[in-house]
Amino acid sequence: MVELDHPFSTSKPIAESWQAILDLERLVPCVQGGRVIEKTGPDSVKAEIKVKMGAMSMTFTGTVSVIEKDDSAHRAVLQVKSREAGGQGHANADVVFALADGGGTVHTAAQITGKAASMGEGVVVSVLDGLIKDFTGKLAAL
Amino acid sequence: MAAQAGELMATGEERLIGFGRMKRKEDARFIRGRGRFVDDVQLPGMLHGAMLRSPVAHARIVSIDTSAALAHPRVHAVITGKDLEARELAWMPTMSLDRQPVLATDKVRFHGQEVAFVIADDRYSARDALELIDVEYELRPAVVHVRKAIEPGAPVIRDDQPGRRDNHIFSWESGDRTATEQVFEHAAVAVEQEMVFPRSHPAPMETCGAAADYDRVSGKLTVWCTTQAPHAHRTLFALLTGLPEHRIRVISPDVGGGFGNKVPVYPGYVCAIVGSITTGRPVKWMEDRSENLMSTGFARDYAMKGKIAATEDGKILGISVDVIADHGAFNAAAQPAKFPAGFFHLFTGSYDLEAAYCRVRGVYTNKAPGGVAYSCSFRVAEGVYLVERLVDCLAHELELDPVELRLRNLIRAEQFPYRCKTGWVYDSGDYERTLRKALQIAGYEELRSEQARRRELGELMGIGVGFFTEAVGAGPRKHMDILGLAMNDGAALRVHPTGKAQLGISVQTQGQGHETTFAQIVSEELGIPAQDIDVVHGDTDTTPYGLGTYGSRSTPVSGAATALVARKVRDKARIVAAAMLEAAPEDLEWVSGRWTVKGDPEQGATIQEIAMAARGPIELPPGVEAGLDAETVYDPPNLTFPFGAYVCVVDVDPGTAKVTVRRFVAVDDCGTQINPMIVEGQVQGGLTDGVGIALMELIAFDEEGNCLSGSLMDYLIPTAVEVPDWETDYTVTPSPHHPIGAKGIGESATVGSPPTIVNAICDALKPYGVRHVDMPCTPARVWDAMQGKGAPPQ
Repeated sequence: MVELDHPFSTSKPIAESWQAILDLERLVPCVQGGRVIEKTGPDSVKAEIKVKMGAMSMTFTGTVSVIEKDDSAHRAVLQVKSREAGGQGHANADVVFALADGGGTVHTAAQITGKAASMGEGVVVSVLDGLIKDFTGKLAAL
Repeated sequence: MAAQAGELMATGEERLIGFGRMKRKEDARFIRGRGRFVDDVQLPGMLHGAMLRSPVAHARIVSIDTSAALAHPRVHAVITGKDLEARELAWMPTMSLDRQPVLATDKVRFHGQEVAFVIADDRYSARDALELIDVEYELRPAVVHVRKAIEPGAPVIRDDQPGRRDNHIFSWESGDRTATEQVFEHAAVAVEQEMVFPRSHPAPMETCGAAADYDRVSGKLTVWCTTQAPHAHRTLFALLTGLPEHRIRVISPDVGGGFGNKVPVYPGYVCAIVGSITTGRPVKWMEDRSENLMSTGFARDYAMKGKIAATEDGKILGISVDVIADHGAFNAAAQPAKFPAGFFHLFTGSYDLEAAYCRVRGVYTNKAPGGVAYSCSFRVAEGVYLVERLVDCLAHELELDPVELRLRNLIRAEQFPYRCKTGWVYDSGDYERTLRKALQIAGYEELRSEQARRRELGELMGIGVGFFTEAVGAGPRKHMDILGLAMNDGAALRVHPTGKAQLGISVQTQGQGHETTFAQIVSEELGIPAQDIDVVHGDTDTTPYGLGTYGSRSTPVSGAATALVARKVRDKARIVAAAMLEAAPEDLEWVSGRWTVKGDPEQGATIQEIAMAARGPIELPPGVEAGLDAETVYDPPNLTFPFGAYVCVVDVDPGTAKVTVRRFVAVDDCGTQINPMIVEGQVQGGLTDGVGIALMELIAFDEEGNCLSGSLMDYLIPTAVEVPDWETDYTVTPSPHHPIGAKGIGESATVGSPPTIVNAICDALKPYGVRHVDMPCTPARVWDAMQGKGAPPQ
């Protein structure tokens, strides 16, 4: 299990950011290589993400769903469940967003298996860290 | 005859007859790149296999969809566990009477486990098609740590076994528990130390593989296979596939290193066989480096809690140890059936003590199966590591020099044969002589003075001493078998009319130099030049039955068979010579390769002359058949007990905690040496293994059971850069019960060097109060120990 914390800042009002985070069709493309394949429910989408790890590139397909949301505290938990083509790897994560005025925090707890995990936790952490940093940068503009 | 010696024979190392330094006969082909390995086998119409492996450590298989792979234009077949189930081949027996899936049916239980097998025109297409197979897994929590695996409520890995509720495989004990407890009760000093001999891997240069060719007309199956035990594998393939054993031929061609990694039967071998039977064409499968590291026979993985009791002046009284052994998902350790912890109970080492006791519990975890590999001498490596670390911990507590402590406790020469407290009978030894020789070569006193000077300067220099006794040459048939096959070996010697000979042996070289040493044994016994003796091995159709090469057993068992079969030939030659010389056999004596008439040495016949006469028209006594050929099977009366004393000097960088092995002195005693150059080579190789194990090698897993050591970028093995110039020497204490007094050398250095290196590292870290560091002693782990935060590896 890899756990990472990232802060982010935004000039948008909190209500606007809150709506943006819960809109998965807007949120998912903010992850580099991520795209929504179809909306499967009010709070869930089918999505895929292409990730490059060194010389390897992998495509994970799965679901992203909002499993908890607290409108008053502006706290939401998104669950990612995905697997690589052929079932040769999994990437699952719980992502907790906590918003405040002017920004917020993202807590990621990810479970990676398969080829990616074999690269070692160091590589997994640095790739994931890079992805989320890039993501939080885009959140600011969302 | 000298002129016929190969051009590679070097002056000064050429020895035509008998024991002594002689360049290896097999090297002519190896250094020219003309060796023939399994992957060199090319057959008409051959197809190629590739293995789909589990990406996770523990999961239920929900579904496997092979349709896209089957639609690949170059794919001939895809085999899954369900297909094998229909043929009752989905599970196969392991060497430890457990079972293991050939291809997973219900669950996957380790990262890298075999799930499906693709057969295609070429290996590239087979690999491509692997990515077209869609497997849906339902993840289960992985059991990674041994101590958690035995806790109540841990997820059950082997739910294929009816009624199973835990991950416990066996509990086994040796020695006298009560006597040992009493010794500890009354001892003035008792030191306890927890230590881990972590999971490592033999990582042979050649990975595992097989080429199977089933002839549908004759019903004969030929399997070229990377195996250290071709005959045992033939029997296993027969039991497994139901094919009659006389229609199976296993050929182990040149083998690029084994170290125990090539003793088990792997699923890939079976899949190649099934693939050839189903497609009617030869099928070859070779694993890649990652597959080898992630899924094949690993080594060690013993978590040990040891205790040593002594008097105040350092007389060791007793040793007690509790072990939890990580066997992975299937108990596939390849060792004599009666000994689930191998020969670990040799942990009393080279010391004379009053009582000893061990308990070993084997457990399942979600890791690859194996355990007995990497030249461990059936877990003597773990036992020697334990005792040698404990003795140093005791020296640390008593503030005694570790050499002095050892000298006070080593078994004395006059005590041999020595029965140790766990029942082994050590055949012969003169331990003090060997230790003193090592100390003298190392210049021990001077090293200690140097250390004192360097410590004043803040430098971290460590001197480690280790002494080991091994038990090799398994083994006596009344005590030892693997899957019901007694551990005996055969030798067949054919002497051709012109005096050239062919020796067939049942053991299998993986680089040990059998083709040379076994020829030298015959040469020593019969006076035929080694170059005139062809050693044949690795083909079950042409060699006598036996259990193969591992556990340093070739020279102790098959070497004995070879000497005895040569003596049979010599005895027969005496009868023939008597007929030739018109004398009575009892009036002849054997003098340097000739039977001569006693008192008249001019009257005699060389073995070559006798060989021709034995096939000639000479009249032989009634009942004596023509020819000199003979065959034998050897059942060793006891194991042999090689030993050695090692001294290691390390420097630890106080700023980076990097360990450098500066010097290493190894004095080995393997009894009679057949070819001292090969002995030296074996020792040098084993010492290099030891540096790898002590400093860098670790098969690591993350919390989810993902194997993190699937490449040589992650699993570090030593190169010439990491090792010093070895200083090797020897003493010779022949084994009293072996026909030529030889004890075996293959694994000595791999067993003896890791504790010596760790002893040296702990000695270097004395200024930091460090008593123990767990292997592998990487800079990070040594640094942690220096900060008082040392912890066993995960």
